[in-house]
Formats: sequence, structure tokens, C-alpha cells
Amino acid sequence: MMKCSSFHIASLVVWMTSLAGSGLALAGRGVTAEATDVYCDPNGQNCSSIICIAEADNFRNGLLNAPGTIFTPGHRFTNRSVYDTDFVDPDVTGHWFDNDTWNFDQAGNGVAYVCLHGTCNDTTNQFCWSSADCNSPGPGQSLPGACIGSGPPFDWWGWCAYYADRYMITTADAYGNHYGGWIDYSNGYVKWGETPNSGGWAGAGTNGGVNFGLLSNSCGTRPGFVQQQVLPLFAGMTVLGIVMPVTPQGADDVDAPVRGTALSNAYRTNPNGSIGHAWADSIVGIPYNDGGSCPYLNGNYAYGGGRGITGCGAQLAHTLDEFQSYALWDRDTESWNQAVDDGNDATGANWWAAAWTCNYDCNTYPFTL
Amino acid sequence: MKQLIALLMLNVSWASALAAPSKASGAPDAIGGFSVGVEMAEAPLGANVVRTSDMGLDKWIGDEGVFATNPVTGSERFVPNANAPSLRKGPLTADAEEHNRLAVEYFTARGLPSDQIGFVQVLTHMASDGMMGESMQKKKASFEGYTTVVNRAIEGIGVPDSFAAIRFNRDGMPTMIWKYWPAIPRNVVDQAVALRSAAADRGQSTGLTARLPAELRSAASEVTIRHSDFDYDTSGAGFEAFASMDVHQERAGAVSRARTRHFDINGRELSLPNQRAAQSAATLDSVKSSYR
Repeated sequence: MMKCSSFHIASLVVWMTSLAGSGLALAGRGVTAEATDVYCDPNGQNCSSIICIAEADNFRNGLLNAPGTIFTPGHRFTNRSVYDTDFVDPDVTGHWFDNDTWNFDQAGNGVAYVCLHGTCNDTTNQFCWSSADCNSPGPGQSLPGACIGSGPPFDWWGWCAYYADRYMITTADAYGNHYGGWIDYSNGYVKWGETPNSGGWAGAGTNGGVNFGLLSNSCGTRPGFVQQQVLPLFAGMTVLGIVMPVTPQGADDVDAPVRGTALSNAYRTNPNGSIGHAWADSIVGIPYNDGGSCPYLNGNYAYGGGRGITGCGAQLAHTLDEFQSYALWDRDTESWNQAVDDGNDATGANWWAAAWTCNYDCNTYPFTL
Repeated sequence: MKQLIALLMLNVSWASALAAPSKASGAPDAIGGFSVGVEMAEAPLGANVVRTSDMGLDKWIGDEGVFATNPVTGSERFVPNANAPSLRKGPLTADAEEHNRLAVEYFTARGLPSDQIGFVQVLTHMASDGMMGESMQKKKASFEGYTTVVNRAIEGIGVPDSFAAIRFNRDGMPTMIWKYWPAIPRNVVDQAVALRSAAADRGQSTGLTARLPAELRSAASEVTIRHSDFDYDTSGAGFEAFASMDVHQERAGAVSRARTRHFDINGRELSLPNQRAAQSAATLDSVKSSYR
């Protein structure tokens, strides 16, 4: 089953007829993983490490090793083989060296997981009562500002955060870098999922593959700026899974290799389950003390926290599609079995939908003031 | 569809499907786990339930969802189909305490040892949507429901890798169940008790701290019992458990990442199987395209 309108069905018939002659594949069964553990300077010196490869591998292997799986191996790149150009669309930038086409967003690889560093340069120490108080962005930040609630139990005040493009960061000594290892995914140069079925989005061509993209990095997006920061990633991809720390005072994604296992376990359990909800709910399977507590980053979890995020935060599934009904279908109804079908690609950028699971009571204590 | 037809051909009746799996077991001196079991779960599987073995799991597959038990690890999980009616019912309650109370009641009625309840955590599922140009900040998010996670403790020592989680819908039906609560070897519990005593003893505590890496000596820490995750069968490793001084290494600077590290009583760093790089053909890097 797929999301359908009469227009869709008619389009599909025409498209399938054309495919019969072109030899293009309908399925995106490949699973790609890119992750960096060892970070060094451009000269290969001053190295430090995190645990990202295990997280991405636990997801990829979980899908691939399940007996009878529908998934097949896509790319796997780690450490210095993760180039910043792997994620950037050459059709958008016009740069010969950008190459998502044959790396992270290759046609036929419908599911792709990336785990890298990020940057939390969007936060401040500015105290606030409401977002109207947030008018003084720091270096690298710009308006608008948002007053992010301080989290339970004192949520009537908060700290200002400001808009800043979001980044994935690979090691600076990766062999094929052209951006110093820093990948800006909010500037429109990183586009995932464009296929003949989705049509060409924002000049990205029709040579992509990602239908379900997973991104685990520091400060992947922030409440108040989510749509500005992540919608530029979409070019036919139906669901993006991303980690969203909330409270500005130190909340962040943490090393959580179980995150990958928890997500793949959802497929193993029920391939007809929702991929968006699988991502949001994979937070459940991560140990409570993978990350400090909400909101004080210590060992008192009375108000929540942890579960792959230090401080208060959430795992967010985000979609963008042509119509509201499509965006909601992508968010709630698209299953693992459907995620490999490029026939379900998003076909337009008119409506977004999001679902998230917080590691605390974010209904009683909303994100922004 | 092919898979469904194959399952139907097995012609396993609901009655025989209810002749359920064996309870999780451990060594005689182990601290026991527990099993919910499909017959007690009250999971809304829908009609036409069949029992089968699929993807290495024992499954009860209905028209509206799947309840699965891992025969190796003993983990259990209910995942509704994405289009299941039970998911469209709305939340049971907006009172987190009430949801937590019902969750604890649910699990203890199904065998969760009440003396192993550490603390209860509420997670929150929310949703929103809007036109391009509208931001999530400007829209009131829809509250979709609480998930209660019962966290485990043995003799007051946290067991972060064990959990029992559930979300109820408006009708009081579970729309997700996920439980992993394995038996823990007695000697591991004893080691954890000894580690806790050492950490509480002023003299020994100084020695423990001194054996940690210098950058972690003032970091927040807790004594825990760690064990393999719910899917350790896929790693090829057996079940592992150990007493740990879990130390929270916080982010250092804007470009950094926090983590929880594990140490034994001698300051030796330990790792869980899922933290180690898997060794298999599947984990060899691909060759970069010559297109570049």
C-alpha cells in the first residue's frame, strides 16, 4: 500500500511505463551508514574520539542481519572515509567535487544513517521570560531569537537561543574534504531523496535515493527554529529522524550506540510499523543514564532526561510533502516496507509534519516561552 | 503480501498461539527477570492472529500489530501497524502521575518484581504540522500521549539497560509495550554492592576516584549494574553483565559530545557489546566511487 490520490495513480502508471524502458529501479532497499569516531586536525594530529560508528553500525547491521530482511547493503563509510562532500548535492552547488550522488544519497539506497559531531553554537546565557526578550544574537547567530524554557520544574523562565545554521562535522583530515569537514545542512546545499518520482527539487536533479534519513549529531536542531534548520534537507525524502536537544544550558545528543539498535529493533519487530514513530520511540530503548538528567545534567532523573540526550530533549521525526494528507501519511503511516518504495517519495514542499518523543514531560513544560 | 500469505498457510490458530513462550530464566542464584507474555499483554493485535518465527523473533502477528518475543534475550515488544486504529484514539490521560501509576500497576500485575522498581520516568509523544512558512513555535503542538518507563534497581542499585515501558490510549489499550528485564547473575549484584560500599567509604572513595582518568575525577557518577542490550543475539556475543561506576563525561566545548563511561572497582574501563565495533564483512568500509 502507498499514499494515493487519483493523480498519483495516474502519474505512477505513466512513470512505470517509462521505467519499463529505462531500467530504473523502483526500490530503495539499500542501507547506508556514515559515521566518524576519530576526529583529528587537518594534519592528522590532536585527535579525540566519540562513539558514532557503533551507533550507525548497530542500525545498519540490525536491518541487514535480520533473517528474511528486505534490506540490502548500501554504503558504509567511517572516519577518514566520511567526506564532507558526501552529503552535498552537486546539482545545487555546481561544484565538481560535491558528491552525494554516489555516497550518502545514492539512488537505490532508501535508508541512510549518519552519526557525526555537530555544534551547539546557537545558545546563550541570556535569561528570558518570553521570546520577545531575545534580541541580542551573538557571533554566528541571527534573529529570530527564541526563549527556550528552562525545563521542569521551573519552566516560567528560560534562556535565549538564536537562529544558526546547523552542521554535521566529520574529521578535518578526511581524505576528500572540501569544506574543512563542516557540512551546513541548513543552507540548501544538502538535499536528500530526489528521484524521478519526487521530481527535481530546488535544482537537486532526480538522482537521489534517501527516503528515510537519520541524523545523529550534536544540537541537530533546536525548538523555535526547526523548520528553518531542517526543511532545506528535503528533496523527496519522506521522513527525517533527528535528535533535538531542548534546554540551551548544555542539553545535547550523547554517545548512545543503542539508539541504532533500538531503531532497527522496531523493524525487526514489525516491518509494518511507522518509521517516523519508530525513530521517535527508539528513545525508550536507550539507558536512562546515557546522558545527564533534565534539566540539570546530573544524576537525579526525577524530571527525566538521559536516554541518549543529556538534559531535556527529544527525538524528532519530520516530514515535508505536497499536501497536508501526504505529510501526515509520511509522519504516521509510512512503514518500513513502504520506505523502500520510491513510489512513496514526497512530491512537493507545501506542508510539513513532525512528531517527537521527549525524555521528560514536554506537554506540561512546553519548549518555548 | 507474500509474507502474510505464508503466515496464513501456517494455519496456526489463536488458541495455539496463546500457548505462549517459556518464561525468561537464569542461573538458580540469579536475580530474576520477568515476562509479560502475549496472553497477558492485552495488546490490540486485531483479528486473524497467527504465531510464527520471523527475523529471529517469536511473533504473534495480527491485522493491527505484532507482539514479539526474542527467544534468546527474552525481550518483548508490541508495535502496532502504522495504520492501526488503536493509534488514532488519542491519549488516556494528560496526568503523567496517573499514567505512571497505571503502568506500574500493569507491569506488577504481570510479574514485574515490585522490589526491583527503581524509578519511573515519563516520556511524552507530541505532534504538529503546518504549511510551509509556518513554524512549529507558532502552533500549539498536539499531545499524543505519555509513555511510562519503569526503570530497574536491584538492592537499590540502578540497572540502566533494563526497562519496562508502555503507552496507553484513550481506551486504556497499550499502543506500545517494550520490556527487557533479564535475569542478573548474583555475583554481579554482589560486585555492585561492593563497589557501592567502596564509593560510599570516604577512604576507599578517594582511591576509586584516583583510579579514574584525570578529566573524570570530578564528574557526576553512580554505581550501576550494566548488561547486554535487548538485541544482543544479533551481535554474536553472549549475555554480559558487570558492576560499573558509570561516570558522565560532559561535553567539552561547542564541538564535542557527552557520554557515559563505565569503570570497574580498579578503575579499568569496561564496555558493553553494543559499544564495540562489530567484526564482520558487513562492517568493512565501501570503496569510494571513482566518479570523484
